[in-house]
Amino acid sequence: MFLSIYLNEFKRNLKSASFYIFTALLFFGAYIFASNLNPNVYLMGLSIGKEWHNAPLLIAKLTARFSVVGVLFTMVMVGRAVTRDFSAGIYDFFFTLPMSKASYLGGRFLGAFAANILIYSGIAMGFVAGCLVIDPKYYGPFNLSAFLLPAVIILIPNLLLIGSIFFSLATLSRNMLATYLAGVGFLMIYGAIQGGFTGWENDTAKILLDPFGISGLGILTKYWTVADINLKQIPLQAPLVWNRIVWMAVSLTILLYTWKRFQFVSLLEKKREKRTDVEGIESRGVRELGTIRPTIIDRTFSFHLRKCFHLVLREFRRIVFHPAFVILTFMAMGELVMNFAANAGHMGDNVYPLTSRFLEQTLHIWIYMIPLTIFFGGLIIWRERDHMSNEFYDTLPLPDWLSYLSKLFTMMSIQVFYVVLAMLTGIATQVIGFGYTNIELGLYLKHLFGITLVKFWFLTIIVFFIHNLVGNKVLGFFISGLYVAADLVIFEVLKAENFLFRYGQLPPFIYSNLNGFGHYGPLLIWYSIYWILFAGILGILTSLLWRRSNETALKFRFRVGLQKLNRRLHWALGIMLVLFLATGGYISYNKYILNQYASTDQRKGIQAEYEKKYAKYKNAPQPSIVRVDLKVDIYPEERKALMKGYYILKNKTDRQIDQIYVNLSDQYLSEINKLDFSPPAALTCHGGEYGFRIFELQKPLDPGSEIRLEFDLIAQAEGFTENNPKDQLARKGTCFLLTSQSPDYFPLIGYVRGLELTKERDREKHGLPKQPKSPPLEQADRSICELEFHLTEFEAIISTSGSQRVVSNGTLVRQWTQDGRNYFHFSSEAPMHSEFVFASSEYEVAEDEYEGIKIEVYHDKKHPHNVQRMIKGVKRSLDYCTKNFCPFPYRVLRIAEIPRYVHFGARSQPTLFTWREDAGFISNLEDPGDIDLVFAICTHEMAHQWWAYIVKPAHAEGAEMLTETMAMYVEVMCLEKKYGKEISRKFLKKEMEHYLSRRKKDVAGERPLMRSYVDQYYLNYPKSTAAMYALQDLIGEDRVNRALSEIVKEYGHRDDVFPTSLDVVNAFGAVTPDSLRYIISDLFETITLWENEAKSASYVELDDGKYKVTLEVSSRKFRADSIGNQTEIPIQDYVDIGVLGEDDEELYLKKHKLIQNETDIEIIVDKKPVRAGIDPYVVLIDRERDNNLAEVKKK
Amino acid sequence: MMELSINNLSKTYANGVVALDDVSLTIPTGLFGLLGPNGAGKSTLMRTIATLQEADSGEITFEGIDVLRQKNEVKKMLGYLPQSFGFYPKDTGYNLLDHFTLLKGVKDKKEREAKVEELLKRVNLWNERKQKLGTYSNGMRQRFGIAQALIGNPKLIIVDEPTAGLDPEERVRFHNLLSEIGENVVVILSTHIVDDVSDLCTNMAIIDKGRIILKENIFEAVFHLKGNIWEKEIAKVNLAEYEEKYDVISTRLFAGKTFIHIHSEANPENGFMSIEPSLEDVYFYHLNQAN
Repeated sequence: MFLSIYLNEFKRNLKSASFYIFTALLFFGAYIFASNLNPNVYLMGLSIGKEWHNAPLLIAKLTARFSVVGVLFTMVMVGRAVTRDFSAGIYDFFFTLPMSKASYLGGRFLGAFAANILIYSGIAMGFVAGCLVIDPKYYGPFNLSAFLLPAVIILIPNLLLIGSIFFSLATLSRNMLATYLAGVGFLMIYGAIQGGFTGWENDTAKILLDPFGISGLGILTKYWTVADINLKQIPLQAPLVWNRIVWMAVSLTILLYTWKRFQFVSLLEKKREKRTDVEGIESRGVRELGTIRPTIIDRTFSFHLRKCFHLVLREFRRIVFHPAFVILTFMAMGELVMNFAANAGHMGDNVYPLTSRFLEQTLHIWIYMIPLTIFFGGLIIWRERDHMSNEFYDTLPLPDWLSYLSKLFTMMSIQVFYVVLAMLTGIATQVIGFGYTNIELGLYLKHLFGITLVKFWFLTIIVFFIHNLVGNKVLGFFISGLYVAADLVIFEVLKAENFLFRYGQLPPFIYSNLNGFGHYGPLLIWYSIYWILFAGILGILTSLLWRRSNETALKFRFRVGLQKLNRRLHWALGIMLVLFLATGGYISYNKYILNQYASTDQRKGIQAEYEKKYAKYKNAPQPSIVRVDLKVDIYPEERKALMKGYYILKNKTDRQIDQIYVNLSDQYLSEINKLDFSPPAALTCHGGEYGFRIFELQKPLDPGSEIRLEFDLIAQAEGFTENNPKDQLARKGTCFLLTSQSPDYFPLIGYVRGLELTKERDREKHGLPKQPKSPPLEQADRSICELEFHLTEFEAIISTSGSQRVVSNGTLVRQWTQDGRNYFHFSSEAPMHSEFVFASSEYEVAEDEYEGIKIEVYHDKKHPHNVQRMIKGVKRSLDYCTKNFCPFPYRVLRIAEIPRYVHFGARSQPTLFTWREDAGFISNLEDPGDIDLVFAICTHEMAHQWWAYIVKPAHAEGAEMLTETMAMYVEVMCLEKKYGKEISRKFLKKEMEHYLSRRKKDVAGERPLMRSYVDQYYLNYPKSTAAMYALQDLIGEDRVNRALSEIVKEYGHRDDVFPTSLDVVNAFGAVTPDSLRYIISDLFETITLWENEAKSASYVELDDGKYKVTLEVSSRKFRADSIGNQTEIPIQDYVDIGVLGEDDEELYLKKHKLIQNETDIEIIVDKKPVRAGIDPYVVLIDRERDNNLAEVKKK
Repeated sequence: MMELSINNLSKTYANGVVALDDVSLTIPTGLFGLLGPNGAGKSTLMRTIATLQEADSGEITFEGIDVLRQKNEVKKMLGYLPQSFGFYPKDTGYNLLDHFTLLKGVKDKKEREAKVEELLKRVNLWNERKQKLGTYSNGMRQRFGIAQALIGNPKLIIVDEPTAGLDPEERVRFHNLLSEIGENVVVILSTHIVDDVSDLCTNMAIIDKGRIILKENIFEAVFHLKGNIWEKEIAKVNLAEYEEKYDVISTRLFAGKTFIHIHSEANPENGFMSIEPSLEDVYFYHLNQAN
């Protein structure tokens, strides 16, 4: 009996459409994940870096995440197993059969459960298919156990848990709505727990409590290297195994309970008894013929609208109470709140809950809106046919357009409801969650109704079009899904990014708190108009072909459609089509004519072209800029800037120069009125998008002599475009640079290395050879600077509109107003490095001073929160650097807030650093336990004035050691000095974890710190912090600073020879006693990891009231290769041994020399010890930081 | 007098089935029966009149309206009870009828309430008005359906197989209801049950395989067969023999005995008794003739 019930249930599931839909969903999910080559694209919080695309851990993680989504599948498949017998009315049949509860329930449950597991085979197929379409080098050998183990360990227990919960709920309540709501509750609780987890420190508890084992997978493999991920199976370690056992036990208990409570009686039978009997039998014969009273029928248009409203309201009510809608809505809103509340800023700190930040999160509800629109759109369209009441509705005297619009408006009003809900959710989170009251209601309305909602509506219109045209519900769903998938594949995966052809999508935009929607406003508006017109045409077509009969053949429907196409509609269609094309034309005019449109890919092509054509001039001797004299007029309202002035170029080489290469972007600038040398030189070659020009000098430039390059240029942003829209020229927050990176605003001399493509995949695609990595240290030419700077005198008179202020480099000599415009005269008192900023906005200025050096923070008046912290940071860093390295050569230091159009958070220029509005100005640092990252970043950027400008690295690997490593060092030391060791250790911990978790994602392979490449951020920043902290901890801060000041002394302010990381390492060596030299090799020359562990600790109380602690510690040391394969090396290290008392009071902390892996140590302390161990503050890089301390037990 | 006239209407489905083959009919005011076996094309014809289906050729006119093209005009005068239908099961009878009343154009709330009450009382569902439609019996559903069809002063009422699946009492009640529908409108009753037509209609047509094989006043149709229908009780084994010999139009069982009806203009002797022809005889006679 059991078997037949089981098979019946299993087959019933195999026959259902949902089985195939779910399997297909999982297949596509896994397929997209496995075939995705872009490490920046995430699916369910996962992305693939350098590891194999079919690595066991990835399969396990994705399976685990999908099993959470599986709540929805399971709810449908397992939850319904028994309730279906009730709703189908066949329960009597089963209940009268001679069988036990166990075989009925067991058969139903296991049958559905088996089918539920089977849909997850979609993941395995998806992985295989995904790997097959990519290059074999991205995946490893397929291994059955890589699929089976996660299935057994993760998937089956997860599904058992979810399944038993929903089976129990549905079976006992026999109410699917209650079950669906419980599903919502379940996910919400899970979400809340996950949210709460983030604050927890206890990893074991996290692992145990996560019913899906996701935390376990994540935590236990946090520091796995690429080699680990590729080869190891998922970790069957105690906490995870216990987690599985505990939750399986919970599931079985639930099932047992269900079995116990279940009764073979129908709940419906009870209800039926209550109902009064239908009616008495009527036995009258033929009655008098009575005519039916005629009624007044209103056929006016206004009453049509009322009917429409009535229909909308009626369906609206049904949908918003539909369990699937409730679930999806709760999930979407829950995710919104969680994402918003998690509120991680770009620096990992808290930020103020600005409305614009919430609105960014709302872009995400698009993911919910797609299935919602397809599903409920279909439901609404097919509602009458599903209930078989279509023939009533189709013969009602309602015009077809009314029938269509009533359904369309229903879906649209549901979307309005959704958006309003999102808005209320946002406001509630801001006000209740954060007590933040600066609610920008206008911004909410603009963004949610003007952008989000409109996009939803576009989707609805096409889904209705498809459903109506196809005329079959399942096919309608399928083709709608296919349409969305095709849209994603074509435009997201294949990167065809032309938004003129992507129906219903608006180009991406950047909202800035400084500049608002700014120049993205017209872009969004015009695209909206464009697609509204198209959607209007689709709508009319849908209305014409609207199905109000049983006729499915398109032939007849077109015939009827043509009959309905009256003169007015003809005109309407015609006018809309013309307007649509005209709008498209206008957008194209803006995109292609006013702006040189090039897709991301095309631009990469142009960069590749530049390199191919001109790389041959790379090493030709060229003069350097020694003086820049400018008159710049910024017209922010017109988004225009005039740049006039000259460079003095000096031949600093020892050879004669007869050709000078000048780059000046002809495409980018609107006008180049002048670009002449004096003495004159002949332009002999001119080409390419970046305006590469060769000037033939009449008389060669001798070493040491100078020539003048004069120019007169106009940059103007015209019209609108989605691609490269000259963000630098913003109405509020203009900021452009004279930089060696691009010739967009100012001419550049010589071949511009900054234009080369750097990503390997891009270079391969455009047929460029692999970019030579920075030369190895041993072959470095120390006369070439890594940073393309020249020491330059700088003089500029910059004007802007009357309401704005200008920020630039150097001393502000004079400031005046003339003809309603503000003028600022900047001048360098000592030569500066040739990177200059021209920023203009409605700035407020906060001022301070440090020993004669002026400190100014230019910020938006909405963002005053952290200005004082910034000033403190600058001062602290100035203090640290001047005292330890050398005096600051200028008399001013500025910080300028700029809009978030740029990719970097903060960037240093001489005497100035620009800081993005959302990367420091809106950080919320009110909690004193938080690391003051604003202060920290200021100390860091300030340190670059020394380590990037005063000392510049040679072009070689490890160059960042002279810039970022030193800045990180200054940062962590300043933090420690200002906020104490507790904060600096917290910072160190964060940095070390960052380093350890990022190693595996490095596609280029990890390198020793002194040989790191520029783009290895996880080395140049977090590992630098860890290494420098460990170094100064062992050899002493004084020694480190002594070594650094030597470097500054030798290489500071020089433009002829530059230091490499080797010089730094040697300088460290010179100040380090021989016995400690090993640390330099460990930290900088190799990749070294320690595994320190306190094995046991005990104490006895001595007679004199002191305590003797006996400690058993183990210390092992490993060298890792580029993908994390480890080799153990013998230990000869000085490591901290510490004993902590109550409240972590430090009772003992001293470096002990360890010469073997296992060491026993005895220590006498004054107070009662609580914890003791090795490297208690984890100063050495250690993947297992939790076992460094052990509880001290009484012997 | 209103009249629905159908001229040369033909319809072939995509799968090759000929549903309507050159159908021409004139349907006057009053109850008109369209009789035919299952699959004869009745529903196709009903749906085509009710604007739910397209014809390949031919035309239908009613009150000067081209039914096949001016669908909206037709819908304004139409009351339609489909052959099979369902409702959103959670609606109550009252709410749904109110809903339809509104959609058919009754604007005033009081007027609508009065109308719903009148109709529900008329179809004897007033006491069940607050019950959910999902709990209605077949007969109640059919009566609800007719109430729906009566909203909005229809001039053309089409009821498609309304009595199929009803028990005898429900049928009687439904017949009563149909017979009460005013005399001033065109009512087309499509059915395969002869008694429906004989109980209710004066005019009728018989349709088979898409063709109209008879259109006549019922009295006349019966009158034409007067004296030509003969009945005899026979042994079941002899049926084939009789079919060979006579024009057997129907065979039926009564109290376990087999009776046959034959058509013969002369007295067939051999124990046959002359009987008054019923509509059933007309129906079977013409069906046999057509085949």
